[in-house]
Amino acid sequence: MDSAEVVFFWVTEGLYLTASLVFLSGVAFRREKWLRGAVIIALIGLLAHTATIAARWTATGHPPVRGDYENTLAGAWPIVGVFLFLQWRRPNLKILGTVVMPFAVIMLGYGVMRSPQLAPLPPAFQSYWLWVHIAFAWMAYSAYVVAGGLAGLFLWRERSPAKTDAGQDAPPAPVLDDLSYRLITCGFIADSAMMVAGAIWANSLWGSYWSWDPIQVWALISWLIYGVYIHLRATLGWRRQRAAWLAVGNLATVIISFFGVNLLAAGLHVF
Amino acid sequence: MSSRSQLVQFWRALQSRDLAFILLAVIAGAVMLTLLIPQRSHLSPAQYAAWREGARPLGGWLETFGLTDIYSSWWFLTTVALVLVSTLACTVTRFGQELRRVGRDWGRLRREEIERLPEHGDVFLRQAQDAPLGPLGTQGLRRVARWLESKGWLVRWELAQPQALDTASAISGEQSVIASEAKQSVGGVVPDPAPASASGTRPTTAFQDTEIGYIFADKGWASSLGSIVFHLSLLVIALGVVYSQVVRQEGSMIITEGTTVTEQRPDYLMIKKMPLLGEDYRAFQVRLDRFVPTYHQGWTPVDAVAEMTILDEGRTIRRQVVRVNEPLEYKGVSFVMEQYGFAPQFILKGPAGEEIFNNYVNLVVAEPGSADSFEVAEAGLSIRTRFFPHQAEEEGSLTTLSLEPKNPVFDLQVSRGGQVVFAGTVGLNQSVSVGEYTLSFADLDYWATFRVIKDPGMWLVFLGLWVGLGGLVLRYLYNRRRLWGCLYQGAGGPWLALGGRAEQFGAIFGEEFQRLLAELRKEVSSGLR
Repeated sequence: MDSAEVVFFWVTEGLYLTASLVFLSGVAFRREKWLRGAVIIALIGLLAHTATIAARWTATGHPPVRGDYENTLAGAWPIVGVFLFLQWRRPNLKILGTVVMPFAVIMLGYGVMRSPQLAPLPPAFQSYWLWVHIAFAWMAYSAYVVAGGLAGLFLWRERSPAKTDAGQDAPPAPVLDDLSYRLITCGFIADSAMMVAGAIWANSLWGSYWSWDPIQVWALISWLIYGVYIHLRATLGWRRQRAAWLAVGNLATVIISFFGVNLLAAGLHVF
Repeated sequence: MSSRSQLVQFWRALQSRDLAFILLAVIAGAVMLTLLIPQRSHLSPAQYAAWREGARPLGGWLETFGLTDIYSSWWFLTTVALVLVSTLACTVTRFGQELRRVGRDWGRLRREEIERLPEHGDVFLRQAQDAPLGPLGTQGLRRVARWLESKGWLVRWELAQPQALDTASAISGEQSVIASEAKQSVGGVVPDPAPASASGTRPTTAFQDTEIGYIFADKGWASSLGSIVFHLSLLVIALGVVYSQVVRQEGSMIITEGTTVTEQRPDYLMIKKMPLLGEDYRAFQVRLDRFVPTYHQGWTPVDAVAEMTILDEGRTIRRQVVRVNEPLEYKGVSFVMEQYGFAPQFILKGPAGEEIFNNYVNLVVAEPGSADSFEVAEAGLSIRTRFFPHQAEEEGSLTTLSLEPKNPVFDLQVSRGGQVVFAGTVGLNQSVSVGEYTLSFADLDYWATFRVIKDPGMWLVFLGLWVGLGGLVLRYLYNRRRLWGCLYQGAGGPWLALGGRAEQFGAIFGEEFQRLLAELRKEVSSGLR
């Protein structure tokens, strides 16, 4: 990492951590104003995050897509971005920051521990379909993470609807349930587009659109599990608590798909 | 039980959601196992044999149950086939239902039926002085319809009874105008004589005399088709995969710079094809003119460019630059670059200076210090080599400063009959004496291996993927919402009972409906036009 990137990175991490603490404090102490302040801190953090990505891009000469550090650096940005956009459209969703911001902190922290050395893009990564594939991957996983947060918020709301003043203004539970479902469907579309783009890229790279590579397989598992979620909602009428627990549980496959496979298994597709 | 009823039962069982979930769970579990149990398809034969040897007796049991080759095992393929058959059964059965749903509920609802909808409310269509709604608010109905159309709804409206017009027309003389406008509503559709209700049953009693007219609005109707399109695409993909597996031919070729290969069996290193169909060759030639790898700071490969020429029936078809991600394609055959390595030219001369051996030798010595061997049968020599592309010495040992061949040197060990006859280094354009022979390192080229693929079934798979994506976008980016309105004579004047339902995301639609109702009330109070 070069010096500018180091500075921007730690400023980002610090701001996200501060935002997390302020969100949690706002909920614990029932302070709506603190939640508004936390959003502003998160927004400044996102700007610093953007600067970090720009610095990394300048240093390496390519977008941050190589290795765990770059993937977490780039992947955390849309997660925070989606949350900030959602709470701008629906100000009563600020409370979601208690879930999203700590997730972003952990994600960046994990990434920086995974050797952030500068490296050029290998020949396999030099394809336009890579950018399409990765862009949809970020969209899909950020939607799943925020949807999981909404589902968690729903479960909290169901258990303690009048617990805090800060939570009073959160949307009603049925709306939270629907928003989570809506985000998951959007994520599912992006996930499908990611797999299509990945198949096209794989075909030009390896001569085969599907090679049962571990990362491909885990991406398929994530897709199937969210497909099952959508099926259960659409055809079996799963709603509310059952659907919310499933949305939270499905996050585990996203985390394994994103982080775990690289650690556990080698294949054609190590990113 | 008759065979027909057994078939019907079997068909119904295939459509069972429980069955589908169980099968999907089996598939998900199976693929998770592939991360825990080494798979033969992911390992080289030597690696697999080593694991097998080290994992006795468990390895044997796993092999017996097909767990070391899960993706080719009978139980996995059967499960996948059952999922596809189940999907086909569901899709075929639901196809007609979904098609009917696209048009269903396009009709009038009575006021009490509207009040049973998930979202409903009433709007008083008061008559503003400067925007008269006409007797009994008939103009209001038309204006509400126009307002909804301006919001992107597909609207249809109609009057309740001809008698409802008599009173109106007697006062306003608008009968012919309103009646013709009703017929000119969306698509010019004339109302059905006995339309369906929200619950899907037809009303059995006559419409109330106070009900003057009806509105129906629809948004996102295409969403209903999305599910069908998506499930059909799964079948197209399955068909494509099966066809592709049957007809696909895959092989490997090695081409050295300056040499030509022919797309025929002898020039393949290996061929993989299902035995159902014979091997298929196109017999054109491909020449590797030049190969240029590029490294970052001398070590990390960042590019590899192969300049190639396609020749067919003696004619040059075209020259093409081939890279990783940019295969060469001609006559349905793809040449996908896989690996590359060094191909030094060694010349062996006899005591009288006669040339005994003069060849470019494809060596796998890309890793600095790694060894590879070749034979010179004519002289009975076995030559073991280590390659140092940019040779230097470090603490008395040979090393390389980069992967770029700036000072290429081979470290040789030449044997004959098991006895080492020479050990030493030779640089580019240098010679060494090996017994009575002279061995020269004359030139350095590259070789590249290509995966050569013919897969006429692939287009079907990609077609299915794109169609499936389109189906998902239709289904989930659009949410089908429907509104029903009933204009009735209530307390103080004409009222519009408005109700709505969404196919998905009902709670979010509830918020949208309340906003729509509030906006309509505001428009009416300021004089709906």
